[in-house]
Amino acid sequence: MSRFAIDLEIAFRNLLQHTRRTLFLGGAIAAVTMLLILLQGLSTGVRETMIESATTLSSGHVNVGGFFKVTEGQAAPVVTDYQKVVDLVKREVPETAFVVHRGRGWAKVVSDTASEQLGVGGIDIKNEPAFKSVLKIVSGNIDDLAQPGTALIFDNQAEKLGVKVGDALTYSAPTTRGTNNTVDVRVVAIAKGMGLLSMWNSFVPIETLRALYQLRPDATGVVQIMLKPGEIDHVNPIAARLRSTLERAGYRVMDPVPQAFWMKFQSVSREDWTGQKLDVTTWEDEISFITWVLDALRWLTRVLITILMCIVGIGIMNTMWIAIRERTREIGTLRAIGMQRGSVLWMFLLESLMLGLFGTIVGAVAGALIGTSIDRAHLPVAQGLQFILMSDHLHLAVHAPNVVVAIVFITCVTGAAALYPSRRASRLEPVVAMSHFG
Amino acid sequence: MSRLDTMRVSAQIAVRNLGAHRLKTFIVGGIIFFGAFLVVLGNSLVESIDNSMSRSVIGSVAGNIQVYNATSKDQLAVMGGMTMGDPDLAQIDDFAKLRATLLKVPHVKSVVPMGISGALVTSGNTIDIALERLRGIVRKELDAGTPKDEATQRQLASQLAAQKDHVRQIITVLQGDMKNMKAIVQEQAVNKEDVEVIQKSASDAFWADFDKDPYGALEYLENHLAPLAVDADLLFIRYVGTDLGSFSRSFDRMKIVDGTTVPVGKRGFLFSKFIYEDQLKLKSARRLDKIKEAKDLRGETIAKSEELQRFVRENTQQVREVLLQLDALKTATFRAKLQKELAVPADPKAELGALLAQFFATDDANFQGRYDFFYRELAPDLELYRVRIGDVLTIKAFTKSGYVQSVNVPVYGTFQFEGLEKSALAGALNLMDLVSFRELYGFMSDEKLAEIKTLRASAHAKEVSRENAEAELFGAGSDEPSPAAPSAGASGEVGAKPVKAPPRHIVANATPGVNPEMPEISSPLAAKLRREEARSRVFPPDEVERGVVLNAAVLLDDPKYMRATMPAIVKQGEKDGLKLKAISWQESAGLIGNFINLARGVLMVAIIIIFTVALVIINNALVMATLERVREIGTLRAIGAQKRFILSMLVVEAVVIGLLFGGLGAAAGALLVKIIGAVGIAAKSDVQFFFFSGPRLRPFLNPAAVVAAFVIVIFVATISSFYPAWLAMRVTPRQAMQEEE
Repeated sequence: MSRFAIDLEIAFRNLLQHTRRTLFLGGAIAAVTMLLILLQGLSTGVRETMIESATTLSSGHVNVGGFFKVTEGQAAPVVTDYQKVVDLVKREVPETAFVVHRGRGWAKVVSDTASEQLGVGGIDIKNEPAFKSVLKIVSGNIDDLAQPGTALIFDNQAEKLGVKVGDALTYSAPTTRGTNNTVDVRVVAIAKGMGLLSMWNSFVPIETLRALYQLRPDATGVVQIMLKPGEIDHVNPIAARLRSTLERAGYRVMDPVPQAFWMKFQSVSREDWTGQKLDVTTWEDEISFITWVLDALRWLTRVLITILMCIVGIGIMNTMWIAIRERTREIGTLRAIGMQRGSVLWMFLLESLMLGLFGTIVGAVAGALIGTSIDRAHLPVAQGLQFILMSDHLHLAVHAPNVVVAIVFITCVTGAAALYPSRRASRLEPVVAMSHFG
Repeated sequence: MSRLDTMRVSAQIAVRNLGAHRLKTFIVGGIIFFGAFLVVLGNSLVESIDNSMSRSVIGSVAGNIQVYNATSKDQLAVMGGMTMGDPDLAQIDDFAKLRATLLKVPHVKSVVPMGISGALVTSGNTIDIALERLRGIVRKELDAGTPKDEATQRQLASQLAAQKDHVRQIITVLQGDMKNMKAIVQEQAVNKEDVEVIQKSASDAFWADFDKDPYGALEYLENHLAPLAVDADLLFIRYVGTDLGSFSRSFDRMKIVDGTTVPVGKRGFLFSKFIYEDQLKLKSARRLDKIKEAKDLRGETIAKSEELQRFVRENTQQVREVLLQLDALKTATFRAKLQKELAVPADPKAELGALLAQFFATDDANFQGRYDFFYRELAPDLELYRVRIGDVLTIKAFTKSGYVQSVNVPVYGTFQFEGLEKSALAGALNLMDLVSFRELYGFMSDEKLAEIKTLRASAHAKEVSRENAEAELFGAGSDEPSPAAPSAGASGEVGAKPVKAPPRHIVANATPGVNPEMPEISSPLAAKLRREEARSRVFPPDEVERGVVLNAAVLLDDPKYMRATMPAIVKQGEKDGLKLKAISWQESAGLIGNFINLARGVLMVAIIIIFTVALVIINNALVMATLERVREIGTLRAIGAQKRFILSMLVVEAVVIGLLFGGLGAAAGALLVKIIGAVGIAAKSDVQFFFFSGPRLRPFLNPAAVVAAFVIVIFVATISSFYPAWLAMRVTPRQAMQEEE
């Protein structure tokens, strides 16, 4: 048997000998690991929900949007001659999976009984495969959105407006001339809500949106770029590259500001240029008003885990002190029969590491199981929390890499906590140690 | 031994043991110290923020309780809710009745009527001002009554030339705008008349003929060209329609900054100072203000802050707004002043735009000097705000049923809430008189609805003659001023309409209130009439009182009765035949109100988790400490101590540690709260200003937090000592004595 195996066996036996102590400490470590994994699962889950609803409803992974200013004081979210931009993107961004374009608008939507301010997405349903597959249609047929004068709304809006599939709605919005224009549409599909973003979004065929704003047929709102899988983590460099590509192609490009396009109206309409400017944003920019939730969750996870690890660390140190006192004579004997200081240190350290490893594995397994079952259970969340979690049910995403990181991290912390007591143990003089009582 | 004696002895032993088992004391005590510290500090901070935020919310617009119609579809959200746009609220028909009902409820101090909505405001006074000035000069020049010497004559001529140039410059800009529009708008949507007006105004022939008939030319520009420019500058604002007198009495943090308050019974608009600065101020000046604020308040530098660098860059790039305000004479003055300030050789031909750009290219060293220079030398010659106090605002709003309604209201001044000057949240709402609000919101009283019905019936085929509508609105000596003009309901267009135009018939559409074919008509005369009306008409207090409102803020004489008053209001409403819903300021503040509950929840969950883990660790430490003392315990048992004594000894020991270190921890937490309270946490962002209800948060010690800390600590200490104490209880004297060394 190799040295390491013997060391492992000794550590394991020592742990077994002190069942109670091991169970308590291991339990605490397992609890903290579980908490870490659940909190991480929540962060990741919220992030995934955010990406999904953002990229379905209001953004691509990278967007080329922008503003057209007819006069200095007025900005319209319009990209003129969009086909050129689409061609350029297809040519210059090899990471692109596919490109779609959508119209952007903001209108008063009026039914027979009620009215509501809603965002209007002008969509070309035939060329939006992802959109069709992600939305859950409650009633109606999403493909009817190909016909002009139709609309897709979400269940919460349908309820508020008091309409069902087949009913008429009127969209009313100010055009670029400050006058108002209206368009009558028929509801052809009602989709299940997707959290916050779907509360104020509705969709009409892009031709209908153009009719509402009296826009030319070569105008759209935004060119949305969906990236190939795996490229989603590189949106920022891709956006930066695209920005300079567009500039080289002769476009005026706005400075990057991490905000959703509708938050930029105020600043853009106060700038003194007219004409077209393009704005390259990422999905994170477009939902920046909600990503604070992620930051807050991460911050909370960090603070909580730090405090808990301190407490657990103190517990481990305490246990080690007592264990060393109990085993002082044993240490003395081992040293007397030739064990090196390093080996003594290693012995104690290994014990703690092993405890940490067992604890974290148990905690990780429990955390992963609980996390997955919560996710499966589709637990509904309260209205107030829906706003924050961007979904009407709790979504926890527990991924293997995160679990491994949690295990390694917490095991290392337990090892670190044991370092000082172990060093003390290894410094004991054999003679003193052997004559120790108590 | 009596129970009391047992306690005394075990307490004595416990205190002695604290010293004897220092490691255990240190570890258990340390954790408890930290826990108590955290509870006191965290709780006090959250409570302090809750307290100051409640002052912000209650003091700015919400009041203690908000009351609205219980049949409303949405919940009221005075500070913006989850959905954008306005919540769908059912109206309360008669405010006077509501007030009478509410005042019957005990503790209700005052009731303020309200309605919250948002609208587009057209504000572009550049061309109006320019034309006004031009008219002034023309009048002086043509004034034959006063004799003029040659010098005055020459001066006037040069002024006239400069002002003409200024107007033509603006027309050039409009021409550019028209070209831009064609790039995105369908051809048929471009109004041919507009194009012609701009073409004609820009033509040299027009200006060559100007002196032949200056008044006629001016009239043409004012009537046909100016409206095109007005539509160019749109601004979205949110406002509260309220009884302004009662509002300022009830929300006593409100202070008028510029101008005056709105006279009783008149239409009027008060801008929030924050909005006035942020959205209506000359952009270059606003950016200078922002840079100054960041430097003075947050200690940022242009060299380090990316945001400030962006402001500087925008200021250097966007000088057109300043240039457009200047006529030839002012341009010359500015040029001279800037050349002096920038120490460049005086050159009367130098381009002012470049000089301004150079002036605005500030760095940390010269910023203060340039800032002072701007306000001292340049600002007096500029219109710093797009809307001046005294201007008449044209507000266009979507009414509840989706058509557009426009109303003219004069701006009387700006206001802010004391301590909340910097907060965007507290300053998000502007104030408007109730009568104008009702018109914009599209309210119709029952009798007006009945009137419309009769009108429709008499006009056959569901048609309303605009003549009739006109008579209703401007009817001479109309002794019944209505909150909502009937034509508003029928056609959805009250704004500008031609008085002398041939009668027009407006077809009531299938969708109520929506008329897609509505032409936008503007007649300067009607607009002028309406502006006159806006200024002069006085509404009897009765009309303000007795009309429709959306919600009402209720202020209490003592906020602690809030919870009890809410059901009382609903009950009193039922008694008086009103279906009311009463919500607390937390609920009416929407998301912001929820924030503090969220923070409190997170803190509580965190404390529970921390103490659960602490419980396990403390328990472990105590178990081991107990096992070390098996011999001691055995000895005690051998000399006659009962099991119960052992149990109480160990529990008391843990509780003593808990009390001692919990007390120390709570004291340390309290001390820190006091220190922070004395120094204060400075608010850095506008959101913090709102949360802190002023420039600094001064946390106060929450006595409940100290009590909670003690309760939690004692609970945890007791629970975690039970298991070790139970282990110790089972130790028999023999076992203990036999225990090997």
